[in-house]
Amino acid sequence: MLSRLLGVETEYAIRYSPSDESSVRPSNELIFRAVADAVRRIVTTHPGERGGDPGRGQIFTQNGGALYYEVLPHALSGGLLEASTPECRGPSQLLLYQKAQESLLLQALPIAEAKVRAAGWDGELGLIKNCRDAEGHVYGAQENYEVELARGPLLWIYRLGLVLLFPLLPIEFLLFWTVALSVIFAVLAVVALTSLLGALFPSIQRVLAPFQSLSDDTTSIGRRAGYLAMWIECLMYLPLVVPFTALLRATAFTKIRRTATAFFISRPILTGTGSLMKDGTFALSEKGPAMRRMMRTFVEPDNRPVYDTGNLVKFLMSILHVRIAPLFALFHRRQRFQLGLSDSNAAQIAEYLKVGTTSLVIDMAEAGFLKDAPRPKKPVDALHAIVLDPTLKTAIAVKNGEAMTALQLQRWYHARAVEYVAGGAVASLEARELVRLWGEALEGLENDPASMIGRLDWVTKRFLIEGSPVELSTAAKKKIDLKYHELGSGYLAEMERRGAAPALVGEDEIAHAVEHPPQETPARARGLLIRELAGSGARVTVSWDSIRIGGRIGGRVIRLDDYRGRT
Amino acid sequence: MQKTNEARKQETPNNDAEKIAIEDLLADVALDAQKRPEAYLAETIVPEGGE
Repeated sequence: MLSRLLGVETEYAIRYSPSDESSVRPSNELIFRAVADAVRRIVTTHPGERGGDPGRGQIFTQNGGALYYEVLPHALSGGLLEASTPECRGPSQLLLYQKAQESLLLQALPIAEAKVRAAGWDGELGLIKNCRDAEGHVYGAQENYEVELARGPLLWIYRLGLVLLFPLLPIEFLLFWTVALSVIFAVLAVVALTSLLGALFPSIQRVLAPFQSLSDDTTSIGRRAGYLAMWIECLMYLPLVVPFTALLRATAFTKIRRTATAFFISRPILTGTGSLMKDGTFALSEKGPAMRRMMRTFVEPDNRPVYDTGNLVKFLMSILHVRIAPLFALFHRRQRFQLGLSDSNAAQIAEYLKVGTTSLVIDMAEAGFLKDAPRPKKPVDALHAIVLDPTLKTAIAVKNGEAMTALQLQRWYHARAVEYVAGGAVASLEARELVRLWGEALEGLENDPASMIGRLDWVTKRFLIEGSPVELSTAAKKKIDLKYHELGSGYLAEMERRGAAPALVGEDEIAHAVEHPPQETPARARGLLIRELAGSGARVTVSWDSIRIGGRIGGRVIRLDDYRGRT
Repeated sequence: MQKTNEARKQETPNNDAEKIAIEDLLADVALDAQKRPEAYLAETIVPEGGE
């Protein structure tokens, strides 16, 4: 019970406040590099396999976690800092390592700020752990749980489906590289030719100037060109991604999807971080309104699914970079189950409830304990209706003809959890405490919402906005919405300092977790090797399942614990 | 009755202190939120979103 591996990826928005408001902002890439350099000074790190360029590529830290500059290809200067916790066992360990990640980033910020200042940009840096900016762009958290993809005949159908896709791999490889190299060549040719013509005929330079910035994503034409390139790339993936995502919809995680969907779409009443929408209404969740489907059908960035199989699609597409190992990993029985419907919580109780209740519900689903769970008729529509109603009164249609509110749905799962935990063969103190907290939160939401201030993010945020003693402008209210989430100087952090928001993990534990990996997970071996190989002079590259010493050819690969069962 | 009054006297200072603390918090947040809010929002834009 509550012993499966789990981890959270968090995307942080980067704030830069210049001393002189008329000055130009440095790129987010430059800021990320400064933060990554600062992290390297605080803890031992090694480069990861992702990202290529050592400055903005992935780095793994000595506690087994990772940092990465998450960016879309057509907006290289406007990316996010993505940080991943190491793999953890259980929700309390996950909460601890999430707080350790935030602590490390907070320690890095002043060092990074000094570095950015030395490079000529005098300003203040901040990191916002949230999911929606002032213009409605969505990013943020994804939760990952080690789960059985399928079993028995369904697992073999899935594996057979994979084998049948293999003949498409070389076709996809040729298509991708033919088109990609043609596009790159065409762009370079246009830029070079127009630059030459502009130099030879200065009178037409003005007409040619826009074409010379095709590869510069800080210009309008550069961004449009980049956006077009991104769409061309998405279309190139069609021959492989469409049948693969269809196979996943038919076979993958079906037990969880059938019996836990009602839990996930009602979960935002506990785990939503609240968002002031453009029309002035208050939604329970930042990400909830942006969800478009239950499961991924394509790779388009705005095609946001509740159950995100993008990680499995990436394994398949690794063939484009001549990487075979991820392809074979797709055949494993246990896979990483990724949830896209996840807000970046600031309050520790909300964060703990998010991963704890989810772990318990997945345990129950896999044990067959939820066979009679309510099944929403139109789950995405139901999710939208739930998150847009802070009164919690909206009832959604479920398949037996009833209508249930989100509170009722959560109470259903909670009641099952009480029974499941009480009947467990081995007593789990954490499970009992989790179920108690869960019940307390539901009771609070129903009968005394004010008791959830400091505990549930949407309740707290709404309280700060609506409880203001003065009339606030729309911009000021939106600032509360965002700054609530800022690391260190944000409003929830201030509430923690004043004792108005309970902390579940202590500062000493956090300090220890910054430097030491969780035990009994693949992170333990990764963290150990990261420290042992520091200063060895060897070229070391780290990934989630292995460490390579030396180059791709002739290097030595050390496999880390492989938790995924092959049968 | 005396015990109830005594219990009430003990509760009241704590409740008052808590109320003042909440009012202070709300006032401080409102004050900070009104400092350059448009600039703060502009400084935290994520141009293209993420995952």
